[in-house]
Amino acid sequence: MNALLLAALALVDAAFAGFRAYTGRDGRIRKSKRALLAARRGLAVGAPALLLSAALAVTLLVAAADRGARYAELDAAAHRMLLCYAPYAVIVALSLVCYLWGPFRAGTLAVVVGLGPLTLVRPLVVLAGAVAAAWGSLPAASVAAVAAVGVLVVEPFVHRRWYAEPV
Amino acid sequence: MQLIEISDLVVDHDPGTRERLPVRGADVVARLVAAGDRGGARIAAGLACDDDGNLDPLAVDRRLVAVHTELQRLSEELRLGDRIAELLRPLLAVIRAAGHTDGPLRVVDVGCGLGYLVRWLAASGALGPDVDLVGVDFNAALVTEAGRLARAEGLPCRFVRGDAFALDEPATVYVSTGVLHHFRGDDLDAFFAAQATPGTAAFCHFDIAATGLAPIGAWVFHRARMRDPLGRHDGVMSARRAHDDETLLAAAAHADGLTPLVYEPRGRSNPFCTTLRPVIGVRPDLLPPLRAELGPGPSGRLVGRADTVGGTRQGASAGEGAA
Repeated sequence: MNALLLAALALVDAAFAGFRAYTGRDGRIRKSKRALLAARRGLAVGAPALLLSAALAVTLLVAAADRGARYAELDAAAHRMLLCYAPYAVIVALSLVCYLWGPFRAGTLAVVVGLGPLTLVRPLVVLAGAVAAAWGSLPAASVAAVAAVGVLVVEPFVHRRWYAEPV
Repeated sequence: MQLIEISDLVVDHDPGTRERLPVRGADVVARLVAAGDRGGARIAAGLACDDDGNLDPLAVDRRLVAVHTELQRLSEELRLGDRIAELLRPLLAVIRAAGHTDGPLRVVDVGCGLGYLVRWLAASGALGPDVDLVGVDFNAALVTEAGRLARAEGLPCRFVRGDAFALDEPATVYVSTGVLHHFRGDDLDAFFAAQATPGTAAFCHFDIAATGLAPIGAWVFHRARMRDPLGRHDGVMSARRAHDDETLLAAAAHADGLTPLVYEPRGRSNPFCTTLRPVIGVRPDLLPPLRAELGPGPSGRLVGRADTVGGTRQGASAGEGAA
């Protein structure tokens, strides 16, 4: 369950990363379709990165002498990672709700105290989750490292691949 | 440290012919160093120059368009269109009712840049079909891009390169966003004085609220949202250069015949929500109906000099008395 929740978070994050890679590159007013395309591009880049960390986890599991113990070790690491990411995800979700459906002053508040600073600290939160997962477990550390790098490369990759210049 | 934005230094025009003049890269760097801005100087030193040491105008234009496109994202997130429509809708309603203009109502965006505000107003239809939306800017590259973007979406608005106060037909309402902090002292007074034309009923100029949080918020926001170091530098500098309410009201008083007011002044509103707010000028006869049109809540946010001096409130109608 921990791994599935992390995978779901990673995919949602990849879609937002694709969106962020696009924003600020298109001066048009009506661009929701292009924003959705950018989110799909984020997913298209994020999903293989996620599969890579999943494949590494499965390989470590299969190669272990005691698969039950290895599974418990990786699941505990995933749980520690989730404890870092879940509060962040909840705050982002609440800020987004406030921004998208609140009056515009509430939307400004959500951007100024929520979405802006949250975007800024996102790499630190990703790293904190990876360190928590890696704590005391070498196999978990390798999976967490691959997963964290995968999460962090989506936005710059999508940006450089599709939005290096204003569209 | 003198506060300078790099984008103000990299383009120069002959004031008479509007012909573009060469800008030496070394001069831009030297001015920033002299201002004590070594970070800005490093960014400027990375700008492309030709063999004579002049900044490559095409590269500068591309960079400015890219920076302004990134900057537009901030206007989108801060709902700048909604903010200005909240005031322009009732303002234009009372101007229509008062019969202040014979022809179409004309809203002119001064220093429009990429024309986000004008294009948003055109796309949303927020002001009604009888409003002529015009964006004006001295920068040819930005105006050209604004026009291209408007055509790409078939928006009913137009863009003009030149002086917004020297158009063939004056504005019914002058507006701007993020322009005021570029002017200081006599230039700021002159900016407002130029709007005291007979056909002009009002002005509404949005800029960053000069709160203590503004520079910190600008740093966080530009760091999180903008990739170009030039845009980040100038964005933070904008917040540091923002004028306080008293300075704006004093300067706005130079627009003869227009009553100066600030909407959501510093100290009266949540600084997290009021990152941008306007200084407004209206013909005195329009002020009572404007307050009525705004309603009791928003009308209370509209204050004049008597309200803001010393931070003591003297009643919601003191703005009229301040004229």
